[in-house]
Amino acid sequence: MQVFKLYFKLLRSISTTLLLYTVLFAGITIIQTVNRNDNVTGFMQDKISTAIVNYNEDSPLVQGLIEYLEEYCEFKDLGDIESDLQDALFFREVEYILTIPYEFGEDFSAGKDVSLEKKTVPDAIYATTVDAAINTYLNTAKNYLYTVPDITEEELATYVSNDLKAQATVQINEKTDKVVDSYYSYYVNFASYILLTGCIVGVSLIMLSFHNINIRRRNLVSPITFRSLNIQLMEGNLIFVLGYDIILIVLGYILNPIKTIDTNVLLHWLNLIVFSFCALGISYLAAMLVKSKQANEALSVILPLGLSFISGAFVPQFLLGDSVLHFSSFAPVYWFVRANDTIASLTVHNFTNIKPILSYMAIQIGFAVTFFTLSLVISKSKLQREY
Amino acid sequence: MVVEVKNLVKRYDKLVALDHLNLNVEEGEIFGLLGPNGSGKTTAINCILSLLKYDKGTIEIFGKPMSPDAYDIKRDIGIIMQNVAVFEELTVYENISYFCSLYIKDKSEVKRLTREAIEFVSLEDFTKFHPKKLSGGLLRRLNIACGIAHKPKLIILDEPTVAVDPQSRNKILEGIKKLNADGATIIYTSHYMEEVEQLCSRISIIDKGKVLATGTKDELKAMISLGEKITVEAYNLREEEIEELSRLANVSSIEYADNCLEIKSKKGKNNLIHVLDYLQNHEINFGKIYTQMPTLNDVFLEITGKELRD
Ligand SMILES: Nc1ncnc2c1ncn2[C@@H]1O[C@H](COP(=O)(O)OP(=O)(O)OP(=O)(O)O)[C@@H](O)[C@H]1O
Ligand SMILES: [Mg+2]
Repeated sequence: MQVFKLYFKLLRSISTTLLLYTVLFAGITIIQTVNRNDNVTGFMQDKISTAIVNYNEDSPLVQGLIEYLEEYCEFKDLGDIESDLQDALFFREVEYILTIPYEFGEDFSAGKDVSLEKKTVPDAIYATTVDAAINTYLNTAKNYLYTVPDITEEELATYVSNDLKAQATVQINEKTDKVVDSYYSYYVNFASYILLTGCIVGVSLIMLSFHNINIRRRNLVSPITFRSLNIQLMEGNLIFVLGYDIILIVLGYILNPIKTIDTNVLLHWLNLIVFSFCALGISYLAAMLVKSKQANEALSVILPLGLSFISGAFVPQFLLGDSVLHFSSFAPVYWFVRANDTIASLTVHNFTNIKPILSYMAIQIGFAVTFFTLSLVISKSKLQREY
Repeated sequence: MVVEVKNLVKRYDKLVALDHLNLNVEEGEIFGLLGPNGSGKTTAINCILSLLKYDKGTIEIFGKPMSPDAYDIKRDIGIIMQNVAVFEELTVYENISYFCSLYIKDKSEVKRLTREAIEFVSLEDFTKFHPKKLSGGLLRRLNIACGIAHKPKLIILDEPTVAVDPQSRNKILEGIKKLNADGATIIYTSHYMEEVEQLCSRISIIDKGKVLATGTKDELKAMISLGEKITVEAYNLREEEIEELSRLANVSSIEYADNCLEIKSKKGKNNLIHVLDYLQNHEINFGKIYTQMPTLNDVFLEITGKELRD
């Protein structure tokens, strides 16, 4: 217990730094949220200007979808040249690009696993209303596919359109839901940065104290076993990181003007907790490799900033180049952000929709395990050299 | 026997840091390990404490073989390393209390022992200070307090007075004597022969990882041929007088400069009287006169042909 208690005494000495980061983060979040709320009333009448790249114009299902989406979108035809579309997005001529692949309607009606491609501008909070509309349309269609086996594409399109006209009123609720979601996907993405920084500041610094050769020797000559020492340190670390998770979750809840907790919000939180194990693993490894506290301080600034940036925690992933994303897919933050983005666009919580999210979480856990294993190996080899 | 080291060999790659080292430390003594920088003192201590792997030899403490998981042995050892080992983030009190609590379960006992240790090293006015705010000497005292708070039976100090002012140093030496008087066996390493002479009941002189000689300081001095050094303030000595003095019995070397005559004599009786007789008989004026017994430095010099501190 002595080491465990000591852990929190040591943590006290860096509590100011941690508090400062958290307050700064809260401040930025408040500013962001206020800005967004201003937009809310202005937007409601507006439609989202959307570029559509339609490779399946003659499909009745696609026609029905577009018709349905006209309620939410103002369509622009910008051709299908990739760079033009990217530019349009960049200069905010459009906020949303929807690409309908060849044979989409036919494949969909045949029950194949097909999907639409989309791109949005960063912080396009209302883009999610489009996502929601698309999901609603396609999910309704799916229901018919399941229940009416030999349905033709034309019939499908008619049924779905009629159905949705009847349900039009329900949509209004979904809009506010989506505002909540976009707040969380922003908040949680940013929180990962704060969490990682906090871990490297906190965990690495404390671990560094214990790795100090003189302190370690003093611990090693004492009657406390090496195993017990490590277990107690690990317990301290776990409580620290889970505590930090809770603070960030509560803070996120307090700062959000819309106080709903739905499945998506819960998934965001779960994702954050999963990610915190990665953050812990990174910090463990950092403490093994870094030699001095000064170096660790530098690392606590550079590493989270770099990782968060290339992984799309600050800038949406699709705006980053493919090569950057390819590179960042070797960092856990990338998978964390991907999971968040996927959660944010989730409207129907069936297993097929949640499965990719779970797999992204599994990848993060894989990273965490790797980091811990590496630290253990390095620690063992260090010990071997001394004893 | 509290510590028994037999044929200890430790290599750092090609460098043989300890070369068949043998040490025996008896209960209740202050045992000195005297050797120049790089002679292997710290390496020996680290091996004894199972902090380092060694290539050959056996180490027993309290009659039991020492190993990294000999926790019952470790419980009774206190260690003060050459490098200060304290947490920068903790206060003086918290540091001592933490290290003490690794040995003692009972909370109130830890409190009591921590206070005693603080008193022992006279850090009462600094209990709330962080190590960074302490001077070098105070920091050394904190380092000592962290090592001895749990009242160990065997205390190992590795050059605890390096870079400490004379006043703090004396305090530390007094403290070590007191710990010994209270029943602890002490192993003390140093390259300061004055300290070791002043403090230790038995001494091993080591160089290049080998024990060159072991014994009480008198035994060590008896091992060498050198006797006392006689220094005389003598005026206007002539060449032939110096020549004659050098031929006196037991004189091994003689130097004369700035009216100061320095005679190194071999071991023997009445060396001083012979010199005085000569001065008187030749009516040579002289002022101050004094003799010095050989030091451990002389012992070291005679055994190795080099000074202890180069
Ligand atoms: N980790 C190491 N790797 C390689 N060589 C080492 C290592 N530690 C010590 N040595 C060498 O082993 C020899 C003995 O070193 P040691 O530190 O034991 O001497 P010491 O008597 O404690 O010296 P000092 O009075 O300076 O503390 C020295 O030559 C030193 O350079
Ligand atoms: Mg040393």
